[in-house]
Amino acid sequence: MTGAVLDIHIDAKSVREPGGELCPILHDVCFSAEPGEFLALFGPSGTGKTTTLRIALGLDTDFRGMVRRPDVRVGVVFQEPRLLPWLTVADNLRLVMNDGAGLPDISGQLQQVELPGVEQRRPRELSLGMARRVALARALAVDPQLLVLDEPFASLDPALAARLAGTVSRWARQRGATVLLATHDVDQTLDIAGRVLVLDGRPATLAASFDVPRHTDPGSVAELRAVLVERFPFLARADGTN
Amino acid sequence: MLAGKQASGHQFARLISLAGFIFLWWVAARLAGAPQLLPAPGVVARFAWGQVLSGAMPLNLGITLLRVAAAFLLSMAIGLVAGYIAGRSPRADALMDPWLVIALNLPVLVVIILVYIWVGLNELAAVLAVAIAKTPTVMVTVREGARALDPGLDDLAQVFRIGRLKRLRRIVVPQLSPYLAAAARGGLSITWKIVLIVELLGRPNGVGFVLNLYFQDFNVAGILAYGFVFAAVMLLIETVLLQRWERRVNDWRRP
Repeated sequence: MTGAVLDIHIDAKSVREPGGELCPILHDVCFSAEPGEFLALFGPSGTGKTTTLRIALGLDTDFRGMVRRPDVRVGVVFQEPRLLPWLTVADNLRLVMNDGAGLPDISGQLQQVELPGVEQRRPRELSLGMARRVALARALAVDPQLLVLDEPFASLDPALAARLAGTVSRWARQRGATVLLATHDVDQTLDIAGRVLVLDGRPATLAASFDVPRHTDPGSVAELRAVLVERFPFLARADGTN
Repeated sequence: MLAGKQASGHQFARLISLAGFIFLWWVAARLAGAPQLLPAPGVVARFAWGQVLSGAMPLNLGITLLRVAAAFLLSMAIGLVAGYIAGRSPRADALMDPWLVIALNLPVLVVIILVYIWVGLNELAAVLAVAIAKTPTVMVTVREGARALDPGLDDLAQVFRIGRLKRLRRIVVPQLSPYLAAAARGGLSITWKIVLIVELLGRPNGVGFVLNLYFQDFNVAGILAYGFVFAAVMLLIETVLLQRWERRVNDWRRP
């Protein structure tokens, strides 16, 4: 496990309730991500997916356990776009890029997420879906070795979401990047993920871990989907089908 | 278009109102019939013009403005740094808060007198006294701004490893700038009023000194002339420089 891009052992994580008492939300969440691996983290909303990602990113250090993350470039898409409203779209991208990298190809980055010609717009002139795509472009702009995505395709129309999922997957394979994606949408994710982790329970723990069969065989993916949905009914509810 | 028309309409109302004030003053001066106590507007204007021509008014006004500028910059700089630290660190805030409460509630006059006693009747003491009196309010405003900084953007900066300087310039300052503008505007209007008292108590020049002189001579025309001209200059600085800056830093908020 020496080559892992991310090695995470959360023994316990609690949050302080408004009333003042500690409430455990995560318990025994351990996994690691190898270089080039595409991990999908499933779980009903409110289980602690975002908390797990924050711990993985080193943004939350108030937990019992440990996180090992070698010195890699990290790109993130937070649940909300988190663009700086006082900067144009292009400047939002430039903000995270290295100054020494010469003239960055901003429009190419935006084309990648199907947003041509918005460079000079301000975030408030974008719809939520567009802002999410800018956030994705920003994360890819740093050419990350570890890409962390928190529900990146929520509030996008399904066809576009599927296309962007494909973009991310192709990009990750090309660059050999590791991806950690939190979502509750099975259908969009099973096609692109290499391994699936399911967070469930209260406090949440890793309830299951599946390798997704090679994408060449649609039958086996469908089979895995059926197994997942049977064991974790929330996965069916979340996408409204089944 | 409509907004423009409305604005010019308001501008006109303002001018009418100002003319009304001067007219009332003129009527009051006529009724009082005591040019020593309440000189007419024309008398005051002539006196002011004479002072401008003799060079006395530009000189004293300039000296006062320099003191205002020095004290203003000093209190803004200290208030900015201290307020930012207090806003970001609850412990630093707890340490500074009692000092702040004392400083905010100490009468300005006490500060001025003490600084003159301890530092001496010199330029440094004058600027220092004003800065001490003014810094706490800047600090409180900036602290408010620092508390309102979006933690989500801190996370963003951390994850993407945005350098300290870039972070300050691109992420922190834009979030603080409405508070800075408010602190600057409120700061300036308090500063110049305090500077006059400082000058009155212990400086051999400046508008405050001249006012004291005219007080002893019972020269009401002189007092009014200096008072109005100085207020006009400060108002000009406030509206032309600071309000414009404030509008610019808030530009991105407008649709």
